[in-house]
Amino acid sequence: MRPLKMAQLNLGEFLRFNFGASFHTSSNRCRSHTSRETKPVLMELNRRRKTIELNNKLKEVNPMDRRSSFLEWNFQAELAALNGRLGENIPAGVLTEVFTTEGHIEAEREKQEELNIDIPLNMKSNTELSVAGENLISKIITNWLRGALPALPEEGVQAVKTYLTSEDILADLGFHIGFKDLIMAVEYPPLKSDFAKAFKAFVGALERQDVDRAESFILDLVAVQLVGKDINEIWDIPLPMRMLSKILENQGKGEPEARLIWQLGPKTLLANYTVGIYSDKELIGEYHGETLEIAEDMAARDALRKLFKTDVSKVVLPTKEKFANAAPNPSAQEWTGQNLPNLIMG
Amino acid sequence: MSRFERVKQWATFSRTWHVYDAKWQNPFHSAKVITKHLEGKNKPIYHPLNDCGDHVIVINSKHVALLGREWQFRVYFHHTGYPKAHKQSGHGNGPLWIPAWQLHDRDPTLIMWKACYNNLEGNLLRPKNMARLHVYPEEEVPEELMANVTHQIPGIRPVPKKLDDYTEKEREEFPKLFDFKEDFVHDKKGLDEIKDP
Repeated sequence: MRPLKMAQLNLGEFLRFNFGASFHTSSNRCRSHTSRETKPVLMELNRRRKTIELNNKLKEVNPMDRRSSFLEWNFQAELAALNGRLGENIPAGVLTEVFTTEGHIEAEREKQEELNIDIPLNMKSNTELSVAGENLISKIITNWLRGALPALPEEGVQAVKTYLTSEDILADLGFHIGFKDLIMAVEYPPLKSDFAKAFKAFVGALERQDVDRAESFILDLVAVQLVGKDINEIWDIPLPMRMLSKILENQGKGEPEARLIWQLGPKTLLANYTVGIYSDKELIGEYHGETLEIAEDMAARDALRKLFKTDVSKVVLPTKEKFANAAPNPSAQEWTGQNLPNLIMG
Repeated sequence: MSRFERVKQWATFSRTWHVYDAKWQNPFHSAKVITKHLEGKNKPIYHPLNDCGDHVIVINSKHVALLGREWQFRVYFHHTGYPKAHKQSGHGNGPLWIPAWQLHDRDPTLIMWKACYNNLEGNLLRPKNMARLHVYPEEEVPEELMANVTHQIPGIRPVPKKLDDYTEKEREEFPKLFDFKEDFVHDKKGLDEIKDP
């Protein structure tokens, strides 16, 4: 039996309940009539709804019923719809495995123990698939980053890869594909970890079917999350001046020299200094800051982002190319910026 | 907000300190330019509620130049708070209309200050904008303030060069149309010398 939902009533719904004679008398008029008594009634109903919700919250009764508990839930149809949505053809049995969490299996076992039934459960959790999926995602994303950002040192590549394969991003992706009602878990709505695990398991399931499609899937969904993001926000360089000195040493250029270029209101609270970094009397980076130290730090970061080509406006990501078996980028300690491929991206 | 964005935000909303030399300038015409900087209308990020006004230091306000007979006839209103027809208190009572030259004697920064004050709109932003105006009668400005200055607002009109501003050499080299005779009497002092050598 579908439980009563105390949804927030809006005016349209309210009028449909035919309260008052006003609805009938206005049937000849094209404009809907709202009587004076409507508003206080709605206010009272909403107030009662809120007390019930608070009561449920305090007593820890979860009023949010999962979609799968409603009358017309058809799991097989939902799985078919998922296949259709993503243009894949994964068998229903594999998909069920993808969406079965360990918590769900344990809960089922406990239920059986309570009822003293001993039917063997044919359920398999998504752990195995998620591990396979995670490995594939890691491999594909690392290769892609190395190919797409050839000027970025390996530390940067690893930092961006950690960000792209983090639980937050994968959980968000899983949610937006429509996993919320498909995942069979103890909690509803499912936890972030459940979402992330199900996403990885889905990739694992795809891999079993067709590795190429799985790789394209990863690029189309996960890699694309980097578009429009500032890589310098993701990869925070701890000591930029030190790194810059090392790189210039590797390149055989002069030591970095910081010079004050502009300053604004130095004796005020709202002071602003613009510092430039020079190497062999050539300007390689300049930026401003609230204090001289911050300005120097930012100028060093600016010089680095120019070298690594991670200025936001200049990063163009080739999201269709896989860059299979890309060798690791040079680390920041050995970075020289030579032999960079001339990537002309569309 | 990334580091770069935070610092960029700080730089965009920074306040510039300007200096303006009011020597031989018309204070009322100058006020139009100065108030533009005080409000922040010289910036593309301007909005009245943005509080983006700059600081302006005005120097040489003592040597300001008023038009024509304005020194005599431009009057500034001031009410002493006492009723006018109070014979015991004397003349300086009630509403007073003070000519510009008198006000300038009392406080040589006032004419410039009032010119800017009256040029701004009489709204709630005016006191804040006026707080960023620093007027000094001569060229002496406290060091801490001058150290902040990074821009000079050019004068409204070019300052004419007086005879005293030319060097001796320039005066001699200037082409002469004619010259006086040696015994020509230039002034009374010369006449006295002729009378009593």
